[in-house]
Amino acid sequence: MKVYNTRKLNSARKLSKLNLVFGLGMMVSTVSAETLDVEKDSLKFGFIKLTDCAPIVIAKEKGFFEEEGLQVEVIAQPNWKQLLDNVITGELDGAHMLSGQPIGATIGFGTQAHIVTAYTLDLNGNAITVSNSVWEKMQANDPALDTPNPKHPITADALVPVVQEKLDLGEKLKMGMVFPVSTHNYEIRYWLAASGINPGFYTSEDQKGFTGAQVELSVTPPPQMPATLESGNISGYCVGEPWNQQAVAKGIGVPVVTNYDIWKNNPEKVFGVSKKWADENPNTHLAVVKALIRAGKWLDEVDASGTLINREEAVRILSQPNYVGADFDVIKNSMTGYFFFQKTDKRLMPEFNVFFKNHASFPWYSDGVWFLTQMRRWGQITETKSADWYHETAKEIYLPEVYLEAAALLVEEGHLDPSEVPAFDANQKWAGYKPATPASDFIDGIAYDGRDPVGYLNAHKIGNKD
Amino acid sequence: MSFLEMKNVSLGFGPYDNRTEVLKDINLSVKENEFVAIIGFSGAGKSTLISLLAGLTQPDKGQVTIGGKVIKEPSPRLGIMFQNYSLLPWLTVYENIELAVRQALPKLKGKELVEHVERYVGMVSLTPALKKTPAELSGGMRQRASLARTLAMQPEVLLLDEPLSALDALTRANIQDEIIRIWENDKRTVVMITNDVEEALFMADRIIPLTIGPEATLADPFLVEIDRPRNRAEVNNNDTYKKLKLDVTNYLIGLNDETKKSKAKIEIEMPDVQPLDLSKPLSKNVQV
Amino acid sequence: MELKYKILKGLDVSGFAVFDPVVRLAYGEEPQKQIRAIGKFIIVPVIFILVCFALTDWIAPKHKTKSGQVPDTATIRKSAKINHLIAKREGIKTVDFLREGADREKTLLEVQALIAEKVAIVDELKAELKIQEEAYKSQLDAKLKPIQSKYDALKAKYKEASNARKAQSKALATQVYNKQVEPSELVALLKESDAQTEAERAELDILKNQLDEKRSEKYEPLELARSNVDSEADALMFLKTREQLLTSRNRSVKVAEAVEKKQGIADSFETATSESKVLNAAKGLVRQELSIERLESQKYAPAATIYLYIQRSVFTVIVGFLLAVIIGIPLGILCGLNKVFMACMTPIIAIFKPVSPVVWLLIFQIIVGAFFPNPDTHPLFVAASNIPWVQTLGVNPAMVFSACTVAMCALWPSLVNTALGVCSLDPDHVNVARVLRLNFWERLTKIIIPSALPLIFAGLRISMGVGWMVLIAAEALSSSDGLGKFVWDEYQNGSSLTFANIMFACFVIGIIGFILDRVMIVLQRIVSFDDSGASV
Repeated sequence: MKVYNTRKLNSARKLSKLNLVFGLGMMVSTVSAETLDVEKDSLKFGFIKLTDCAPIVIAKEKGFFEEEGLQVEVIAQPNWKQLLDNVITGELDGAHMLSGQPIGATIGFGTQAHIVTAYTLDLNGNAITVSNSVWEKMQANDPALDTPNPKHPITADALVPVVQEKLDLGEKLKMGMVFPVSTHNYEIRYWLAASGINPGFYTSEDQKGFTGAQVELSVTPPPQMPATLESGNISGYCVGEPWNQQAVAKGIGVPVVTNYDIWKNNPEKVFGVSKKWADENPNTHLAVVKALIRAGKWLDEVDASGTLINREEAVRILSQPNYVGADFDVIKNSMTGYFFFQKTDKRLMPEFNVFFKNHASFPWYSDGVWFLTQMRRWGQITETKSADWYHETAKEIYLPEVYLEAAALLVEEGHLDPSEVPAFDANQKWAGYKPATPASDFIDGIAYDGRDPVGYLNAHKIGNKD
Repeated sequence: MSFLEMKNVSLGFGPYDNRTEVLKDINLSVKENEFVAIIGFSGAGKSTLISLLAGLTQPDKGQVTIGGKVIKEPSPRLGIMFQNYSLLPWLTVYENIELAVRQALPKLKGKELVEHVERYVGMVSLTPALKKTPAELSGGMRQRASLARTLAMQPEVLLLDEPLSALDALTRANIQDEIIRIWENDKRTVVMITNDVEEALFMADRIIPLTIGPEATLADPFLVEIDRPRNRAEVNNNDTYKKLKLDVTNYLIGLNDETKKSKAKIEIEMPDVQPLDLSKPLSKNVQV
Repeated sequence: MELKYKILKGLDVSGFAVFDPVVRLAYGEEPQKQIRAIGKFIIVPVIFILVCFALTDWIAPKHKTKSGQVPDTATIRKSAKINHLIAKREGIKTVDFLREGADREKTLLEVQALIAEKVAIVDELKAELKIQEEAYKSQLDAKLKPIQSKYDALKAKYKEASNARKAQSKALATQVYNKQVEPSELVALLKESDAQTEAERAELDILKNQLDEKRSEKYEPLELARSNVDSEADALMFLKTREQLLTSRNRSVKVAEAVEKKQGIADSFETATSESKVLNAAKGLVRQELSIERLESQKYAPAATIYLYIQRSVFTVIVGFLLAVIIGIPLGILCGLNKVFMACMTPIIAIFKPVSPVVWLLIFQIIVGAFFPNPDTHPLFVAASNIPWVQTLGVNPAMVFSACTVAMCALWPSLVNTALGVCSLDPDHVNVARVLRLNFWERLTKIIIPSALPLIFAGLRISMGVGWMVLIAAEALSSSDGLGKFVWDEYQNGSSLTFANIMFACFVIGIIGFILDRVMIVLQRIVSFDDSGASV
């Protein structure tokens, strides 16, 4: 193995060297294809019972971790807070995290700790479900919805009268999301705000995010969402799979929109480790990312006709009680590219879960910046920040250099095609930023360019502006 | 010359504003090797008296001495045998006695100690029950074990607090013989509390009645001048014995009548209503 | 005869006196009397329990919830079997990972043969499933069709009616505008129209609910086919994993590969063309040796199974219980001996005793957690990983928090009972101590503690019971691998077996609690000198 132990190497220089691999198509000869010299070979990773933990589970069950010389225990965690705490205390070596968690932790919203990520586990994969009664009211408000297969995407417009009706009664509609810094929180806020519903702001005093809210959003752990919906404590929620399909299967709610419709191909979960751990175990980190890349690729493998060939096996594994544990048939829907909006409304959604294709697993700085803009938009970041701050913060958390190095090793070992690794020229100013996302990819029609966070922030009608 | 002495001893119980004098102006003088029986009705304060002699209780007034020294605390010189055996239920007969011997005769070690304990157990014919716990013994056996424990400590004074009260007649007679035999063998001073006139007559050199409390005190003694060894069958026909028995009994009956009268009087003056004593901690009910 | 009484005594001490007549009967003692006793106290209760089971089986399927079916006893048994199967499979995987040489090859052949067999079975079952799915669909369609058409017709009709009403109100509005009619008439019409719409919707809803109901009705043949496929597919997947563990993922195979590679590097010395290449080869050799060493000591990381959970839970409760004993008994003795100390402790006990274990857990996570900034290197965990049986349990901070929570909640009965035991020392025994002139230490060890022991142990028994109950909650919350976490995870899984697994865990927890209680009873009986025994 090579330079990795000497991390003092100026990261830009190293990146430029790595970049040669892909940019110029040259092989760096010092990279050899042997097992990495890992600092720690038995690891514990945490996850929450959601299908998007798949890369971690697959890397274990298909032996990708073992091939890197790692024995990994994959342990279910009761909620996101405890998962993060366990990573911080060192009880877990790494975990399946919400994209916002490393960012929130690093900037000190919630528990303060420097968490980094070098791997994005998946894109999309969430949906917003409303209770049957809310759905009926929405149908009453918008007769176009009152068909077995209403036209998508469904905006929150039909929800506005429902919210108003509640407000008139002196109450607020309550909905659930899984964590203050979760994608779900930002997505459901995005969806509501796109229709002019104020989902509430965080302030330095109000850490619940209820200030000015027309709809109150509260935290509920994903697996408890259906039960909480059924018990009437909330009228809807935004959560990952299988908890939306579960609501359909149990007949307690109706998914109205997936996050694919809110923001096409949005980053969802990441593999997070503490900065301290990453610094102490650079080779182990690299080995883990290698295994995860292979797992992601395995999950997205398609045959000539474009059918995902390994998903059924993955579902079989995920439905084991020690992993996601839900019934095979429930997980199968979304994982194999289908989604039930109602029992009668089964739709093809081939990109409901994207684990690898289109460079999905690459840790883009622009993804980090988007989450930071949302934290600012809803007041989790209380003061005005400069555009530079957004870029610098994203770079503290996202480690594309680790991903690239792991990918380079995999290319050399023949597990990866160079085309499957995004081009990254560290000498360029905007390396690691996705090209601007067109306005049509967002439900509110506002384009996002990670290079201009402040501009994006100011483009929204509801939300803090700088 | 008197060996064990009580001089003007008084003792009371209760809070300062409602104090009951149990014993008042007790004077007692016991000679060395003498066998004294103190006889009285239940509740007269007999056990309190023996506690004073053993040093378990300190008098309010007066003093208790042994060989001229004031008794301030219990000591192995004063071997007390409690009314209700007081064997430690978690120890076997052997262990109960051994614990006492270790404390009283710390010089005994190893084999000597074992032999010593076994000898006394043998003395009360409990050898077969050596390894049994008190719960496995009958009342008489417990009484004998208790006796063995007291004797094994080789005290100078034996204080017996109604040692035989809980026993059936047959066992009682046996143990009486036992005590007499032991007393005769290694002559010790004995003070025995009893409520049985015959027992007192059969065993003691001197019988001292305790008047009925409150404010009980010792009456004039009756000397039992019957030759030893006394034979149980024969004493019943002994004239001295018969006379003494009648005297003592009559005296006691007289005492009883007297108190009844006086009590009746008292009752009129002061109804027997005791206020609840809230100043005392409820030691038996620890509710936390 | 000796033996008989020993057995009887044993039964008595362990609180199983109910089996007394069985032993006596076996020894032929008064058979009639024994048989009557057996009938009354063994057979009748057994029948009662069977009746309870039967009742459960009768009621369970009738009680439908949206969250799933209430499990009957057969489902609970199935869940027990599945849990056992999972544990067995993890065990086999662990062994397979370590197999080497001829043993590995032989097993591999066996596994491959099994796979071939299973593949055929799974294909067959999948075909069957397809047929059943079709069957389900057609029968469902048949059931839905009449309702659906009724619904559609009604809906069309109401739509028409609603349009007519709209037109009517529009017309009326025009009349109002032209001052032909009073506005109140229009208002009344609208009100009526709204009520009508509402009523119509309600009617439609009834049909809609019927449709939903029909859709969620279970179709037994399909369910069966599905569960057959699931269990066989799981088995196939397991076999495939085994195959991997016997080949590419096998330890000995990996070691062999590494050794070969090392040989390759060693050979490259010969062909090296420059000094730096020699140096590189040597470096490579060193690393390769290290990596071989690591591979050789590698172990398979199995998934946690129900048996591990049980072991961990029992271990945790015992640790917590011992902690409670170590703290509770000395404090209890101090309380019993010293009234001032008791007065100091009483408010503390009174306030902390009723606090919920959940609160304690959170507090301990914060307080005790601070002692383990880095659990991997903390001496406590390093030490635990070197104790033979304990190392297999994986002692971690979550376990420590759970144990502390158990200790905190189990502390009070021990403390209070000890204090009571010491306080209620027989005054005669105090006198004995005084006469014997025992010093403080002797009094404590020879009189006070022995005399308080029965009460202390009664307290310990309560502590153990409380501890076990608390542990399950603590584990669920702290996600310390154990029965509590098993229950919580199952709840979170929300699968069709969830309820059955929870019920299964309920029995496991109950039975272990029962055993722990029995152990405590035996201990209590052994130390109780007054032969009063313990209530069962």
